[in-house]
Amino acid sequence: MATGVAAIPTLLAACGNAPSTPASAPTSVAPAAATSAPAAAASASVTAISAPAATTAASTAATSAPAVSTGQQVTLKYVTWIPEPATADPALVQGDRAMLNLFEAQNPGIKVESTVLEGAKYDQLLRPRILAGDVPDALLMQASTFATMLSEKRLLDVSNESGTTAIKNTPFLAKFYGPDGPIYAALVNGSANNFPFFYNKPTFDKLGVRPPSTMDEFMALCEKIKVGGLEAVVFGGKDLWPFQTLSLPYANAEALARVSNVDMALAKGELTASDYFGGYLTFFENMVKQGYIGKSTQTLTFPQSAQYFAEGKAATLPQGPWVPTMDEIKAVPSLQLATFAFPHPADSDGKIRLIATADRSLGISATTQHPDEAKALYNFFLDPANLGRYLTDQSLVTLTPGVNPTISSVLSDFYTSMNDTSRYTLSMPSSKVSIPAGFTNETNQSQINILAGATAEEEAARLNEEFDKVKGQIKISE
Amino acid sequence: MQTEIICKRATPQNAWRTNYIRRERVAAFIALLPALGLFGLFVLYPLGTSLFYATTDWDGLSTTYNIIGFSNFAQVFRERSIQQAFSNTLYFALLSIPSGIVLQLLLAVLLTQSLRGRSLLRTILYIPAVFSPVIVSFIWSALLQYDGVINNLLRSTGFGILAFDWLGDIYTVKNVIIGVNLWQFVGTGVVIFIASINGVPQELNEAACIDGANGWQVFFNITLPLIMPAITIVLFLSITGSLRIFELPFILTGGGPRNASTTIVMQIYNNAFGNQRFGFATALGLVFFVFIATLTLTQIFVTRKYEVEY
Repeated sequence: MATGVAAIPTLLAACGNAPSTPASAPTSVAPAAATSAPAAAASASVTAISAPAATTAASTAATSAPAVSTGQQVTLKYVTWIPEPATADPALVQGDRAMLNLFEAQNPGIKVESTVLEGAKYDQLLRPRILAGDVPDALLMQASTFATMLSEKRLLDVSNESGTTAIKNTPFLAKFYGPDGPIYAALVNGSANNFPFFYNKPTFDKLGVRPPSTMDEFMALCEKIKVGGLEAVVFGGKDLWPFQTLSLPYANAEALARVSNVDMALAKGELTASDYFGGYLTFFENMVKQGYIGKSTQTLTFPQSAQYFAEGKAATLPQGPWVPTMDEIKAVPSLQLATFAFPHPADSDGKIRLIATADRSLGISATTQHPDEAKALYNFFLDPANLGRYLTDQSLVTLTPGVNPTISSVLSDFYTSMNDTSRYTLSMPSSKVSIPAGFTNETNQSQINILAGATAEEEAARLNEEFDKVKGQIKISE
Repeated sequence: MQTEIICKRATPQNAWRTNYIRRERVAAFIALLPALGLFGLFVLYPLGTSLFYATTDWDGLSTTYNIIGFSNFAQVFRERSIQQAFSNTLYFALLSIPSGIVLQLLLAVLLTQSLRGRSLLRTILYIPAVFSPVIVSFIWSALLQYDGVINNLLRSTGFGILAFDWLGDIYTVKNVIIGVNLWQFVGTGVVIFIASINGVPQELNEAACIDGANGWQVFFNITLPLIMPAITIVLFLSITGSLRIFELPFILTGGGPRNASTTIVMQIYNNAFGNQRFGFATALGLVFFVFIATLTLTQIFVTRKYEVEY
């Protein structure tokens, strides 16, 4: 287990070319969480990769060099999509605000004003602000945000900062964050773009089913769950992005068997949107027709889908590793969470091809009026001890060597299977292609439309039309 | 016949009068300058730049763009999603405007009668209009979800058969949004109509009753013509409000399912900020502006003809 996540950088380093990113990486929203232990309630021991630092707020943060003090209070603007947990434990770093508070405590001359934008529309909400000149000094970025900001030269060169050291020394990360040499951001949270299916062990025991290891077993599992009176799979469809926990890995696994760089192939017209997504939409349509995904998915938000799952109305929840920390999950103490990896169809060589994603990246605006202070925040956030704690407390993982968050034992089976190099190959996406977020929304919307009665064929054709609309706005920095 | 050309002699009185008029005009112009300046800055300048950007392929952030002429305007009429959004928007308007006006008028007439608790009823009717449409949308979203309050209530009280996919069915979703929109804004029109009805002199109604007119005849022949100015205003607000509907479908459904509830304003937003087609979105906005302006000017012209004075 301890090697599961740590092995991923090795897998990436061993790979040749870095194929492209999916249209956009799934966004993660760190929901509210209130316990001091990241493990699910009934789980046994937590498998520690490395113990996090001490739990008191003041003492855990490693000291980073304070910003240059001019004696004047400096206010930095910070934008993120990670909301404040409703029931935050002050001893934990359960969101960006907690990290910023630690930074402020160590740097009394610097105040950080943070703004939280909706994750599903992060790019769309950030853009008007930038357009209006309200540019944050530092910002958390999704993969698509980073690609856009990079192509428009809106990020500060952070090559020489301490927070960038690990990135610089890791070729596949350096290539992503600095495709032309200088590095413009650093990884906070990222992993292989493949998300666990959470399930409740007692539910599976009651239904007499086991986690699947092949697609046929997966469909048989769904049928047995349906016969047992539950929904096999639930998504927070109203927020759209939860669909990406399955759609993107599935579509990428298929596309990477045909092209080495998905985004570039899309941008250059070598791969159409229907080629990319058609296979997944057919699979999804089949799941809907068989009754394995119910109408509730259409209107449930992401937190509501977790609650729906926790209440036992759905048997599995494909989602990110942050699920054990969610209030909706912890509110049901009888849950015994476990995970399995979706059995993606393997390629002709028996390998499942996945893309590693940079889910959260941290950067500084090129136009910041306070570069020294912004860099101090950047270095503080990315200090291995601080970042490790941030990831542990939110049950997140990273690809950055030297940062060792503690992973919940709930996720051990999933990461163990991901560590199987005979089964998976990983590649890093390219940051040289930026596809507008609107297209990703349309790919998510296509699943809502299938739930509402559209066919996979209709939606694949519609995606081609939608892609044609944004083709002119795709930025390729070559 | 000889045509005499009569010239006005420039008498001292005429010169003084001309100068006075000129000074008055200059003074008036100077007094208007600040307002004209603000109008120019906040209306004419954005309109002018919008016209310019509508002829480009600007993505909203880049410093470079190409001028593409009127391609964006032509594309507005070609795209299927825009056609569907326009159709949905018209549907919203055609259903909500007449039903809204009739409902508001009926409620206003009712609430001008001597009823116990009519003040309370007026307040209750108006309260939803005070809330932000965003808040209202979130509240109704929780109520109307497939696993939401309404369906769970129906299931738990034995009426599970009535539980419905209110927001997920392509045929009902538009009507649901119209219903919520009416619920929120009915109070606004009621208040305007009440004020107008109360302004109708009672002696006219009494005189009509003495002459043998019944309630309907009094309403249609006396009250309605006299409250036409209020109807003009409410109709104008209804047309512009229903055509510009955005928050409700944006939050309730995101425009789905299958674009059944997407509107023109949503398409403007999605194209500008989602698809980064700022030039196209601007062109769409301008075309829609012309459409709304034409419609409302026509409406005002028509309804004003029916206004009477006493």
